[in-house]
Amino acid sequence: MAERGEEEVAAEVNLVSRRVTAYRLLADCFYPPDKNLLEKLRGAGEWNEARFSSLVQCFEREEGIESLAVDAAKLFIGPFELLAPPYGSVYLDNSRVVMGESTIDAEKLYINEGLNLELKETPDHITVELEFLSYLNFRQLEALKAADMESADGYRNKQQAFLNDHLGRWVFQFTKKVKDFSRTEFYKSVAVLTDEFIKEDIG
Amino acid sequence: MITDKKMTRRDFVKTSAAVGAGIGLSHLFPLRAFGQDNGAEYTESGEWKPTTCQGCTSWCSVQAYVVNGRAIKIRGNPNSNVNGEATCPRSHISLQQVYDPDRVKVPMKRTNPKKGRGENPEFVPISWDEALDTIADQILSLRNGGESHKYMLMRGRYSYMRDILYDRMTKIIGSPNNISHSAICAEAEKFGPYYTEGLWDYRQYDVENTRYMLIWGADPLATNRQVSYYMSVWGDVLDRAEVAVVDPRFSVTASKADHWLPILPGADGALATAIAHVILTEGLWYREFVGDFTDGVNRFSVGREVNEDDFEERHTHGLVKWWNIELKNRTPEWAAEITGLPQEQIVQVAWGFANAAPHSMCWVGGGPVMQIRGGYLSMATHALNGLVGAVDNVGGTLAPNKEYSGGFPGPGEYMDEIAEAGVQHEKIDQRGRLEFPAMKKGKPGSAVVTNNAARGILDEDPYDIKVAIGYFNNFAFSCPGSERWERALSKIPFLVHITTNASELSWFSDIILPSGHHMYEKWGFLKSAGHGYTHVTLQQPVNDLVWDVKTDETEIPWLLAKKLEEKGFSNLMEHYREYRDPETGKIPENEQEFALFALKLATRKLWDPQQYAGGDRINGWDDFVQRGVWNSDPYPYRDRWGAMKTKTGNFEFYSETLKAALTAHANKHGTTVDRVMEVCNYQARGEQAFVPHYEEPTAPGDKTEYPFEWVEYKSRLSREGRSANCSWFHEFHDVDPGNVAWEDVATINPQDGEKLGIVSGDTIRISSPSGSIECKANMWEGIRPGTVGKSYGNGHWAYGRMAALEFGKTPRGGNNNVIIPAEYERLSGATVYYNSTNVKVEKVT
Repeated sequence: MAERGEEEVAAEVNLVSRRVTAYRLLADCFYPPDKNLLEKLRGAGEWNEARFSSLVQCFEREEGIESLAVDAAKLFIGPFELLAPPYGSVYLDNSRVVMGESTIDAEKLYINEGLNLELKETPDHITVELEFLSYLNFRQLEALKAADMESADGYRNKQQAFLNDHLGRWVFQFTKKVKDFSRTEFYKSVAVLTDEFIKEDIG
Repeated sequence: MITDKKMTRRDFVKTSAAVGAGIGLSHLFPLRAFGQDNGAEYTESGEWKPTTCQGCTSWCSVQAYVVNGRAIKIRGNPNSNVNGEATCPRSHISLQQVYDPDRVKVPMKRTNPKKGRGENPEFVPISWDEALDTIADQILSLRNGGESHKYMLMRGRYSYMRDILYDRMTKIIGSPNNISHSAICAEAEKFGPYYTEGLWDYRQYDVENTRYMLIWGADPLATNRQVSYYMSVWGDVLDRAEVAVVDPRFSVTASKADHWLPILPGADGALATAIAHVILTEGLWYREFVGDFTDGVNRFSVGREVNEDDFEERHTHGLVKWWNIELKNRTPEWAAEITGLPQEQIVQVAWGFANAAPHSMCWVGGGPVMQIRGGYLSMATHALNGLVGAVDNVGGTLAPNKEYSGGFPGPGEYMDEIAEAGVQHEKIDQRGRLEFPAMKKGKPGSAVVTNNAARGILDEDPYDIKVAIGYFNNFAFSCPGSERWERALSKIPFLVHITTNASELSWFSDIILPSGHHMYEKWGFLKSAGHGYTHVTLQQPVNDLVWDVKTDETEIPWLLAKKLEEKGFSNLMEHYREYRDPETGKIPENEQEFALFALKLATRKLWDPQQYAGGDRINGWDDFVQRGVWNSDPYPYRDRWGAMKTKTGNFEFYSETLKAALTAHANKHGTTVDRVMEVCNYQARGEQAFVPHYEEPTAPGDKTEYPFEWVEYKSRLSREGRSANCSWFHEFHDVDPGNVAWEDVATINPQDGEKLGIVSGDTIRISSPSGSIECKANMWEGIRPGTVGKSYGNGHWAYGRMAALEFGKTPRGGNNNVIIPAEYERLSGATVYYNSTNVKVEKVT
């Protein structure tokens, strides 16, 4: 894989760029909704436009931000039963807790990539894992642009490893809960899109 | 192709500041979760760090093994002389609590203005600033309208940092309504010891030196207090002592005892007075404490009055009066019929107990005393300790040892005219009215009547409550007659809940503030006694915070004071600025400093060598933090003999102390003690009101409609009702005799089950005059025929994923407090939990 022609590299740059943005945008969808989110989705960029345009429509159809905020709170924040716990360990560790062994394993990977978690959330929160994948894609992109194919492949492997060991092992259970319990089309669509995108990336 | 090639890795991971600019760059705005590389490499290191478990009121000093800011296991703190290396299973459940995914993570506000059980509050996250801003406006609006007394603070569990929020803040705002949970705890348990020996407190039990334990409605191997310590020594204790357990239910402790006395609920007074009768008629009392007949000839014989002058008491008061007024006809034969126990067993236990004097004890738990007529049960059972000289003695019942923690600066000079006027109003719980003597430490109207606050709120009597804050509590679940609280809370226009987990109380709240977990995320301290010592043990923030939570008793009031100051009311903040660091004199500048300085201030005499007063010698604050606990000096046995805090200074079998208190209360209302007895549902008239005596048990629910007596008890794993969202609570629920894993069961004697056509596993409905619940049935020989038993802690409908079968709709099992009516032991203000109601049981088909 290390040897490829200019066109192949250009295509790969294109693909990886899309992934950088898509993971980033998907992560944004799981933060509490605000007006910026709509702007970001609108500016998804030509590569991702088709995918995200349906979300823009769903967002616009809501009467105000509050219905999305209430739905997002029930799904991802609480304060009572979390309908769709956005924490890896809830699915991967034995008992239903955060900060499990799998959480710490994810944290190790971030630290070893030189990243410092600043969000007041667990290292295996859905937004954090999606952003981490965006970051790994960004590194791959950097390497491609620097024609450092070995490094680029290394980052691709890290993405695959992270999907295999972490996000890919729980995200589909999570998105199923989002689809089952969300009361807005927006979050149902976010879940569908997340599913599709990650399935595609896992290949 | 990428449109902006200049975006560097640094830009990519840089947080929020660039978000606005990033939008134009479409796909290249920076990440939000991560910050820049700080060059750190992942390393792992662990350390045992001391803190305190509040899974029950043992308040064990413990150590948490913390790896990179994350606690992973628990053990006892070997530095503690109370519990030492011992812990109990409950402490481990705290790990599931602190890492519960359903915890409150950020401040939230209600968006559905309608309140009620059927109204989903539709909470959304808000910033701390918005939350505090809203609360401050509400408080100021009350003050500006001359209604500061309509503010209420409800306190559940607490640390001794409590007064910052509970007392000082409430007073400086200007309200009399700081309502604690004490009356739903065990105030009636303190009633007997106070009105006999002047001790308004829980007792220590000197188990390692005792030869006989007569345990009344307590289950020390399962619940409260010093469970871990007792579990660790019980094997040795059983080698030395004979143990008898009085309980309609075969408790954990009963299962390891020599005698089980499955008494009819509420009949303990008959058993206690009969034991006293045997001790006196057989001449078995402990003469060094009680004294003797002047000529050494025992004149106590059935039915015969004794001349008071013939008996010379030593450290007691009124023995002969007690005999004449109450005991002379309380024979074992009489008691056998009332208690449902064999006469021989009563006599056998009385002899065993008295023969071991003075190294014998009556251990009195909540069971026999948190009853409608429990005040005198508390006295009658505790008075036996006086007869055998167990009080303050080796192998007997002890007071807490002296400790030297202090309080906080007084609020006085920061209370303005509004506040001074506000605190003069009557309290919302109606304490002190004729029907609520609530006499803590002999003072009428001084004890909280927690559960009656709901009635005060509902009836707007003495007035309406407009703004309320609750912390570390869930009265809509934990108070009997819980449905009343649902309506009362719905009625409060602005309600705030400070809590780790949203609960039934949060459901009715306008704002929820996320609180740090007491064991892992908080600076605080606790005091408790056992094993002949008192320890003062620190709570420390040993974990890194996962979410945006603040400390209930310190950080949140500080932040609120800051908001009030910004809005022009600075008194609270000025008061809090007095809490200077005792080491440096520094004035706190933020909530974290405030929390720490307040703690250092309150515990200074324990750790500052310059102010040493006794107990462990600790070499400064850092040393205290390292040890995590201070221990008192060893117990000074018999120091209180002849120096008790009663009217006479002696142990009062005829309570001059109670007589004075009741008379004061009657005088306040221009009536007689007999009338006080009558309105408080007591049968005693005349002199009987001043001695420990038998009262017929009474409970709501006509026996023809509700033929079974209800027996409530506490689960070994219930962290005061806060375990229900932890899987281990359900998975190991069968560590309680009679309970079943993953089920909420009521235990029914197989004889009764056969009559009812109910078998184990059936779904049943249990009804009382107060309400109905559904749960599973379990046939069990360990529950007395005619009674139905069930442990507390299940039946949440709004607590989290594990706690309810279907959140907001179907609870997992039933909450006992739905069927327990709101009744009171009115002399202490205590809420009734035991012998609380009669019930009927039906199979649900």
